[in-house]
Amino acid sequence: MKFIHHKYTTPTCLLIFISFLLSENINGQINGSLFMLPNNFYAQMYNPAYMRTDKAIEISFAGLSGFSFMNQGNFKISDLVTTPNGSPVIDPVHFYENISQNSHIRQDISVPLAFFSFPLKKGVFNAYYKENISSALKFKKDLIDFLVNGNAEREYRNFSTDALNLISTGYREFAVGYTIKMNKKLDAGAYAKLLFGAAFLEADNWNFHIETSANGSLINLMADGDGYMMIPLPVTLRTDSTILRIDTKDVFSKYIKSYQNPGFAIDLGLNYRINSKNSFSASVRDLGMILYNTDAMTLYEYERYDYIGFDLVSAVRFNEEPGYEHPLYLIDLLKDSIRNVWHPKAVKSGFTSALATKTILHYQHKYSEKLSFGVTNQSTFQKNNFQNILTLTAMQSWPYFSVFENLNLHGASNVCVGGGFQYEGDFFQAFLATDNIIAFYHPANNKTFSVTAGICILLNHKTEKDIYDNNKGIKNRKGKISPELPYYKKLRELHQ
Amino acid sequence: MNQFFNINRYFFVFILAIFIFQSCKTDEFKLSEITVKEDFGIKIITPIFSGNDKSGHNIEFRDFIHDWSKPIPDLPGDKIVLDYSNTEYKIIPKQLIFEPSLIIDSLEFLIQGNYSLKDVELVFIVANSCPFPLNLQLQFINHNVLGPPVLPPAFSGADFNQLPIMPVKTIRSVPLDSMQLQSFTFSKRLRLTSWFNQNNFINQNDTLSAHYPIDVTIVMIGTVQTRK
Repeated sequence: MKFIHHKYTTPTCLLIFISFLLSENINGQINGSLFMLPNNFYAQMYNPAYMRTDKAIEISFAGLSGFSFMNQGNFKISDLVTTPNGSPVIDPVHFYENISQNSHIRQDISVPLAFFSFPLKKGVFNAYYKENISSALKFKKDLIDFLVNGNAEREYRNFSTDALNLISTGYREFAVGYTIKMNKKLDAGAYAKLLFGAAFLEADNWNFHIETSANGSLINLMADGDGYMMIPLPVTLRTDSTILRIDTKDVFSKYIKSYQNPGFAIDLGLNYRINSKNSFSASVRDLGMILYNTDAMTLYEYERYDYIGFDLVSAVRFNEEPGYEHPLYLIDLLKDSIRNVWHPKAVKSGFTSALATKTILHYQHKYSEKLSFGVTNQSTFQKNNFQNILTLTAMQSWPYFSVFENLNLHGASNVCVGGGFQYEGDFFQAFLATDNIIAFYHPANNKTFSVTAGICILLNHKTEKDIYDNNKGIKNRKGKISPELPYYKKLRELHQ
Repeated sequence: MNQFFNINRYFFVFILAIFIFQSCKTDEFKLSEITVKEDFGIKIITPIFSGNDKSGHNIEFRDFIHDWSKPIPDLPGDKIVLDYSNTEYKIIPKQLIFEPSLIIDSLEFLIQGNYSLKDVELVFIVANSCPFPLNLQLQFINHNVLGPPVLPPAFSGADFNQLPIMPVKTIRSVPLDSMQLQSFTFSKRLRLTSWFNQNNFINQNDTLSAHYPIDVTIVMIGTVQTRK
């Protein structure tokens, strides 16, 4: 398969297709501590029941609205890239020695390009437009076996990648939602989302095998697996249905303009105030699917080729006897035969892909005016895959500013410490949250890293101080209190 | 105003923390700086040439005598009948069998890629059913420059005094020296020369079968390393 590169689009191609290299299930999650802040505009996107307690209008757009990025795996970049002499080198042997039997790496980028929220009747109307790119790769240690051991030694003559799973997707979502105050204790909300799939690649249980005969004179090459692909680029197929080339000209422009594969999803949420100090919230996100019909292909691969080297018989006899093929033709045939084992066949046909459903459960306790504690559990379900992040948060709050620290458990084995802050002034809100603060200065030595950041403009915003003053109904006294008694007290004295 | 200073204090601490963290980065590198570890290589074994094709044809005695698309040279000495079948035969000088012949003059052979090879040995596996020991010589051609020959010792012939006549399997491993490896790695074309060693069998027979099978496989064992 060849990619036809164009000078100005190479970085963009890399951005998109690097995501295709990495994948199993899709996160689409933000730092759990942000659910401590119902007025945070990212928390509002991820739990439709979250809304502001004042009447402010929230507006954010590309450039301000920030992003959410998550990298999560069960190995570190430093397992693969080491610096033995100060220079970074890829070290497959070190990688092989440090990974577990089942490995995975997931990456997820969400970029809200527009967000809008305003009070409407008893609730709040929300709308947003968000770009999502997600990727996950699941592989077994066997995949690295060949790189480390080769096939020359007798004990390593046979090799199999075992099940290799990859899913990468890029899609955009246009959401409208409404959050309503059901009663004093309960808020509920929902988003209806129109989705447009822009790119998709799925490889299901791909297996690549090599079997070498005892004296090395025969190598059986085998591959099997199936999957789906949709990319908004011209794909040229060979006559045998393998992919000849993909023209990546104007890839970014084509990606952004890809609106031919629609989908639909809903998000549901609720926020329940148990009492003045305790609250509980839950949401279910991405109940829906995308229908890929345009530029969609089904991939399959069940090939085998017995490689015995180049055919000397034809090379010797071609000039002498009829019935033998030209050696050049045979060389091409040999190359094609080997290539065909590894290259999947593609058939243009539509397919449907369900989104990875996510659940968020959050409980928080207000210990004092300044200190709150919370626990958040975020789960992702996709096919037979399950991913869980548990976040324990302590948050300190002041009228304009909140700081939080968190402890995150990715699955059962990976623990990291993170934190963040949110500043909310009269006219804007800004926040940054991460689940692994160490990763800021040592990213390659961490299995997990996430960062979410954004800025939102606030209109008609009343600060905490204003609210406090309005509730009292009076302004602070500035002068001295008059020593004179009110007139009715004097009247009482007269009656006596 | 106090609140303003409070907020700025938090921001100041936060920004300071970021600077400290950034200055402490120990594993910062650019993607373009990454290379593959110098001593990393994959030791592989792979066939490169086979004397059997997938249609069931095998290399035979006649194939290693002469390039029959060219005229038979008029060599001095006795002649012998090379019997193809019941009706077909060729009369050739006996010496032709024992003179080096260019069997394959220039066959496209490309092994280059984004990798380099080291510690390469070529393993010749030959099952010879001919009455004469076989010599095979490989040379690799790059820009019309002929590389040093790769010439294993002769592959033993079958013993025609014992019945049934059984092919004799000989395995010869030839580690390539630096010149041979360079030629092998950067070559674009291959030349194969072959000849047989003379023995008494030639004097005892006037006719030889053209179809004595010779099973030839050439396997490469070597370490593949990336160039970048």
